[in-house]
Amino acid sequence: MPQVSVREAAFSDYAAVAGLMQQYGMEINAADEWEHLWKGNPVYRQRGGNWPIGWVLENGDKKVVGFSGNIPVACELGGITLTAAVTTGWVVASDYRSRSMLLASKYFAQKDVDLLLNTTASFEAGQIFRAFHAKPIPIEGLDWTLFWVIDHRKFARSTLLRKRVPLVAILSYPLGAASAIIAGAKGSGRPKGPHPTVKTAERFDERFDVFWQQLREGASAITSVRDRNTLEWHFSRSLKSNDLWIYTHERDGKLTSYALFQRQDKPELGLTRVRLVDFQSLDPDPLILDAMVAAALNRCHAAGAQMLEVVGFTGEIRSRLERLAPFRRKLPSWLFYYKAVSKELKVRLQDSQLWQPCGYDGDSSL
Amino acid sequence: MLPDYENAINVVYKVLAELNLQRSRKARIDLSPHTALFGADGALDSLALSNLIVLTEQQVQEAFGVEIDLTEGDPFGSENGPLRTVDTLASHVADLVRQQL
Repeated sequence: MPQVSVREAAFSDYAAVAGLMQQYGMEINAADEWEHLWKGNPVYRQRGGNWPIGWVLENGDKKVVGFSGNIPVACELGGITLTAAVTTGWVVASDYRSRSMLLASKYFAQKDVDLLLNTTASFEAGQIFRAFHAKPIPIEGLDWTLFWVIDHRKFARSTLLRKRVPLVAILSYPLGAASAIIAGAKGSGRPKGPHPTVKTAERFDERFDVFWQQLREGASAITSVRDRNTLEWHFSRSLKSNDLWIYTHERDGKLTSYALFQRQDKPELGLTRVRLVDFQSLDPDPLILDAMVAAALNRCHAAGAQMLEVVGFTGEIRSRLERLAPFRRKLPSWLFYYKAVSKELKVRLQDSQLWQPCGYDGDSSL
Repeated sequence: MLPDYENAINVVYKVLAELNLQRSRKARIDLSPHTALFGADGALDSLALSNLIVLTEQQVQEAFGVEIDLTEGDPFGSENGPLRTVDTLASHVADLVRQQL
């Protein structure tokens, strides 16, 4: 087994890291977008760049053979701002997989954070996280997604490709027809009846700062910061490529609710997909969510998306979405793990009521 | 049970024997103090190491009645860390248990 060493990653490692990620079929940002994950990050900037962007594994020839990214994210709990270290872009060359623990060890040894967070864990990463005493976020059903199929035949085709079933082109017709029949029997999943009026927005404007102030005052759960500045950083890539759909609801000129839908295609499977990555509301009217889902479903159809999917959410929002969505699927692994650094926070975060995870948390929509 | 090296290494052997049940005959881990677990000659991949940590902590709780954390600090920070061999792991376990008692 070859020798390896681990060191803090630098921005100059981009080419080596990107090459490695590409080799293993992972999505990689362009260099400027990759750097923006930190240099444009409000928490990183606030800390003056005094934050490890991740770690790299190097072999004896100083070649990069592994990487794990480390992104700071602010969240609030009970009026206190916490810093979470979100792990992202974890990749290790196959000959060096046994040394993944070197990267994990550095990540978990961080002291200047309150929380360690993984919202996109593979099965293997989940086992490593458990070994380092991270806990699954204590909410049942988070490993099930909810979804709507917009184009049944194309969706069937990508499903068959994912499952590596032969004769995809032929089988996609009967499978697509079966899926359409099931959806018909369960109802289209399209919310019915008169809905509150929702509008689209092209960007995050000053209304989002006012909304965040109200949201944080009423929040009882741990909540990722959602001020305008943070939202703009988080979704900068999607905003640039028009892959983020922002729906808003207003009352008396003030934002009462918003939903964010993000394009998250899987080109290798021929899958075109939109996901609901955030929904926040100060208004208890459930029809607002219905209206935003209905608007997104219409837009999915026009945009050629085969499915609309939801990962995460809890409580009334999740229940509402479960009633609307005609399909659900089990994810191949549990995605959401956390480790609180202080004993006090460890105890507090065992309370499932303090969690409302969704696609905005962590790195799944970055 | 006394938190000495002998008892600690027996706990580690018990865990390795359990891990061996899931491994092919060829890939079985040698129950010897010199067996390398992690590092250049390490016998375990990251999944097996994760299982080793979790099972060892459970066995320590059963055998000695104390909770230890084998991942505290930066245990894999260098390839000379406490999980390098069966011997270093057993010594580390005995030290951690003694600190807890």
